[in-house]
Amino acid sequence: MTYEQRLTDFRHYVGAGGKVEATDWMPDDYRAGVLKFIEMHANSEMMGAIPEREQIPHAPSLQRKMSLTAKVQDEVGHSQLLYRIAEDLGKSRETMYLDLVNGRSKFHNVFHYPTRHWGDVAVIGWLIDGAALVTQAALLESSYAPYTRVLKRICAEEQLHLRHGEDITLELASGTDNQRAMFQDALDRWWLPIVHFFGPRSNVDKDLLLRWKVKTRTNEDLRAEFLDRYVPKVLELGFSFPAPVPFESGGHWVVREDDIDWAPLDAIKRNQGPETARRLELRRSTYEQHAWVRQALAEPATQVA
Amino acid sequence: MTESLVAIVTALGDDELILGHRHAEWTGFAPHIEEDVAFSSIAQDEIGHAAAYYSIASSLTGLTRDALALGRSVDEYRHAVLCERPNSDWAYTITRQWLYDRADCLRLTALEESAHDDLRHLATKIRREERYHLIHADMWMERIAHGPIEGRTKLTQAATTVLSATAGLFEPFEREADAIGEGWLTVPSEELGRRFVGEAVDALDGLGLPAEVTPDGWRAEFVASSSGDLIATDRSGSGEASAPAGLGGRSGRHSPDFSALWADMTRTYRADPEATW
Repeated sequence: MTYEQRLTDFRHYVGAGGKVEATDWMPDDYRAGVLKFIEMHANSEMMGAIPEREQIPHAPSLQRKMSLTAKVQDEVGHSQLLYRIAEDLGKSRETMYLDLVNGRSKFHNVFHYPTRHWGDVAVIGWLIDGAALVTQAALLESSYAPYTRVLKRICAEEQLHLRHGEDITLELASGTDNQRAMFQDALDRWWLPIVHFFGPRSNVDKDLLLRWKVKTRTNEDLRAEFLDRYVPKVLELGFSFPAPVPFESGGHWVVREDDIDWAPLDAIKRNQGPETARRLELRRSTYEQHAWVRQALAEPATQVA
Repeated sequence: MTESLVAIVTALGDDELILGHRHAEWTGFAPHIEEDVAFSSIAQDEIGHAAAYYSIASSLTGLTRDALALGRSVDEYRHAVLCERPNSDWAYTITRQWLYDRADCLRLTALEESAHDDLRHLATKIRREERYHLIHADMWMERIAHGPIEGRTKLTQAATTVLSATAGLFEPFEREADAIGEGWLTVPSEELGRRFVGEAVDALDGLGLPAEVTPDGWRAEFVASSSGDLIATDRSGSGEASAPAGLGGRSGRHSPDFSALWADMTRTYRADPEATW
């Protein structure tokens, strides 16, 4: 069978809803596209641990300290699961790690921003995890089967994170003026990055991942679902939105695309976000400091007399 | 009568909380992903143990667990100075965890004879969990001690610093004589400390790190192994310079390291004492 024939068969197969396993034949573009996509997801879980771990020392109760540590632990665990399935597509974990710390690969925009206080933990845990859950739930239908299996587990844990974030939010919302101000301040800083999180409008004709059903829904479709689901809840709690301010139109909550300032996202795509350099440097220097640990783990233990 | 009991559970809770706080600083930055997950669990366990000790203190004082954990001033904490020291590198962290868990195991075994029901039951429960921590630390210590020279050198340096600071874990609790009289404690801390030094030196010896302990019991010198590649310990570079190192914690005298940790740890709680979090 020629490459062209195989390619045609593959297109028909995924077009009809067929699922692809790591050991199946797949076009080079499909393999590269899926790898890049999962690698970015893994990187995002790994880098996503940093903003929240910054607030573990400041947790305001023993219970919150334990649950936030557990949450960050889950995220690191997710990166482990994702790096493993990315590895099966032909790139070693070490290469992926080095590409990440040297700025050659990407991670989600929201993890390029600083955290300031406990209000950030609420916004991240509720709205950013909520946004991530909308996108990840959509990926459960992906054509790449190993990814959907891992996502099933990740989504189950993310549901718990969402409840954790919602719980912290409700505590702040029903709390003192100071606590309410904390949430509003965090929302003011995070709202634009959250709108960016879904990405610019998809180019359906050019997006290979959509064509091959690795992704099944467009960016604007996912953003619309998120706005409808979360905007009314935030307003109900008595908080307000900065630009781009959502408004009701035809029974849906929407933001005007002209109101979205894309410049910060463009900078992040060049790895020039507010915290990008510092966090990558933290990862890089930690990796270097632990060279001796990797050596100790790699060498077979010697007998000492 | 209850003051001596409050003093014990507060000090033990503080040890676990402050060490757990330090352990959680590794979350997201441990040497590799699997270890990151494992060490985060250990951190949560330690903080959970602190909460359990504070529950006993809470029932005796009427203060909430969080008020005990986060609402006191710097000099009201009673943990050993060892627990507040920064994580330094992975060798220091693992060595501290390894020696701390051994020390903890000894004192928990003694507490399982306590006349106080809640404390006795809690000691049994915690000791069961700490056993897994020790298995984890043992694995690392063996791996590093039997690995390449760079790691072994770091381990030796860490063991010297940490071992001398473990003295702080066996300083008598406040009102310890009362606690012994009441039967809350069955073995004086100093006696446990003597047993600990013996066990620690044996365990280090078992790793091929033969330590000679000086007469005061808390200073270790490491001697070269038969292969001759163990670098003699340079104490000039160690963090705990004052001798005897690491004492004072049980009476609320802490290092500047703790002032910084305390400011971080209590920041949100202090920002709004009226709030529920």
